[in-house]
Amino acid sequence: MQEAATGIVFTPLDWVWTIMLILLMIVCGVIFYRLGKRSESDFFLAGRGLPWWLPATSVYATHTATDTPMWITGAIYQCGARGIWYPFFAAWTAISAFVSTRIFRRSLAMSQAEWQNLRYSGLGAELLRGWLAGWQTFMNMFVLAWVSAAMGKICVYLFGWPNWLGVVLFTSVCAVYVLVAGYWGVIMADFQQGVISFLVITLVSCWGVYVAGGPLGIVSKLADLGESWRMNPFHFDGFWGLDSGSFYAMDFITLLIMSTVGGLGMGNFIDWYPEAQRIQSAKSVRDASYSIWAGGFVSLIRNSIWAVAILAFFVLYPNIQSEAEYEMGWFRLGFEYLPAGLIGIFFAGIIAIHLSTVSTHLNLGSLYATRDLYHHYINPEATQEQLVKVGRWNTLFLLIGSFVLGLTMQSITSWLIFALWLQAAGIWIPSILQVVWWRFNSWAYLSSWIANLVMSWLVVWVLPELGLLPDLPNWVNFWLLAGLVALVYIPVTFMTKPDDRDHLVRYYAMARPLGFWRPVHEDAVKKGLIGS
Amino acid sequence: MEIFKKNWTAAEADRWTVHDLLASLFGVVAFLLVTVGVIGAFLLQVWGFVCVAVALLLAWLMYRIIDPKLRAMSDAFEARQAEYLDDLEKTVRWEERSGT
Amino acid sequence: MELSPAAGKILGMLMAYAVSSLGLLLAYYNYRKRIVKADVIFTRTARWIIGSVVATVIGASILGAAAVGREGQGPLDALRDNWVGIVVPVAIFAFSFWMTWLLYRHFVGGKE
Repeated sequence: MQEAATGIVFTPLDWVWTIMLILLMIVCGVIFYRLGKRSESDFFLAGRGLPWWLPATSVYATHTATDTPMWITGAIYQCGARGIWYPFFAAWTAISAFVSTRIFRRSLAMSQAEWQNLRYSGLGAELLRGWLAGWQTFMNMFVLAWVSAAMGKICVYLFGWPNWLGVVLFTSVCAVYVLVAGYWGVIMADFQQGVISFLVITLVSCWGVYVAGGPLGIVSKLADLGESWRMNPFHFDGFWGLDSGSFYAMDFITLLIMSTVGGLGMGNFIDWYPEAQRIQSAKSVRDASYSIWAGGFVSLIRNSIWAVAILAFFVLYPNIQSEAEYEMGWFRLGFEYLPAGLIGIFFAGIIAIHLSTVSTHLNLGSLYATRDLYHHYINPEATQEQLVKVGRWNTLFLLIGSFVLGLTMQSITSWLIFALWLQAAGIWIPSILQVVWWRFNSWAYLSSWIANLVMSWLVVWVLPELGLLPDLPNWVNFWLLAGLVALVYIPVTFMTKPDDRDHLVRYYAMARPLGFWRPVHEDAVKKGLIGS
Repeated sequence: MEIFKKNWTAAEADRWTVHDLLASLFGVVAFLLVTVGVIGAFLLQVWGFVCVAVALLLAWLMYRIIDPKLRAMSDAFEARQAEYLDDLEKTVRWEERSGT
Repeated sequence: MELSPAAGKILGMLMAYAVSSLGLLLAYYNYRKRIVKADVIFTRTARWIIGSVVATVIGASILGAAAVGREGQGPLDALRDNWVGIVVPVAIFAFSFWMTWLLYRHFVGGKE
């Protein structure tokens, strides 16, 4: 029996369940070794032949990382049920399933960087591909470092292990099946892990609700505390305002527009990049659409289950002031109240959550490094065998790089939150325009990326630091950045030439994008590529 | 236009129609309602169960509206996929555009 | 190694930009290597606008620099007082640029 500093007791039965479930996850991935090594398309897209429910589970599993419960717990504990709108961005999948997912699946691009090459033409398209490939290779390594560091903290909290052990151990376990079976291993293990993690999340949350007095007990205790508003997801501090500590209806409207209309675009959320891989791995356009829709739907159900558990936690511990302390609320419900045996299952569920995120980013980072940087730029004539081998080397490189980042420079990972956020602000509209407007060209999109990196830095850090800009609420920051970046890409669009018309016509006939494509549509009809 | 249209030609399915709009709209409302509804239902509130029920109804309507169209489009696209993939590999090897 | 949060953020961002820029350079190098015909990126009007903006910025910088240190004098006064110190260097600068441009056109002319 092992007892950590926190008083959490792990019985031999808990360890048995934990180890057995870890072995099950690894074996489920490794047995796809023969399929993974067949070709580049198998190693990164499982041969483009998956039924919708497999990528759907993977979409859900990937959306669930070890830091997700901490983040959602923080939002709900602080804001009540209205905090549920912060993680609502998963709803981009509702519109995307029938718009951008469909268009992207029809392009057949293996990665978002490759799509730039199909949508745009010439030097601008290549520059975009190179930029995005570099960005994604690094970002995936970064996310790996981030989630591994979170796992390290959980192991310190639970067992008092040295930090490096928690960082390295479980991520390395995951690397076994990613290296061996590529995306086949990722998707099959994700299925296992998605099911396990959903069951565990529901179990622990229901247990927490029970401990707090049951559903009606929570309602009455909130009333006794004078905190009934916490149950209302639509409780706002007025329609709009500039206090960065308040939650206005404009925050909700901004989050709603951002998350739903954003589904028209490609690349406007960090989640788009792993989901793009899942879209292409589906066996048909129909399967791709349903996988994205269902994955998003289940993610939102999960968020709401968590929200109720955190309301239960609030009833149990209503006066915690420290963010670091209440962020661990959901973990505390599990480890402090579950009986022996179930704690092991809970820990296995946490590992499942961790592995599903790690495996995705290992394979995805390797996809960009292999398909876009190696295959397209370094060795266009590479054989399938060489490509799989390079894919494995790149996976290993990402793994080691993430350990170096996660173990030696943890303070750098605080940049990640900013990077994730900024991706949704300045390039949010350009990412939609590139899908729906034929005249929006590669130079405009590239300039919006560069401008966004500079503007977001200025608006969020530099100007407030110098006292030239007040500390603004999120909704104002979002629209301010969207407006400032537009001042760059709109002139660039009109000052540079449209993409090559023949190239656009080929893309249009294949992907059939939505929106303002009339001149290209007419040319495609004239050439007999499509019917009127 | 027939909302629950069952038979689509490939050319019809390729066009953007009101069916896509309705499917997207129903999808968004279903997402909103399920987010709110699950919270209410877990707290045994009547409004929670109503929201979840309406969300599921909308999801079913969405499926009925869009599925025949998606099937027709997928079948037509899959018939040409091998040819498109061949073009894609040429792009990776710079063959499509060299000398242009 | 533990850095202050601000230094960590800056370093993280620089690393991300550096890797992305490497991808950008790789793309540029390959495009120039593999595609014979170069792209004309900007329209004629755009080139005129960019040229005018650049010329105005350069002109304003020169006049601004000339006015610095001359208390109470505006840029035009500075130009009037010391036109030789401005016009002659500008002429040398323009002539050097023009010569270089002619050489560039000469060597690149056959290929574009």
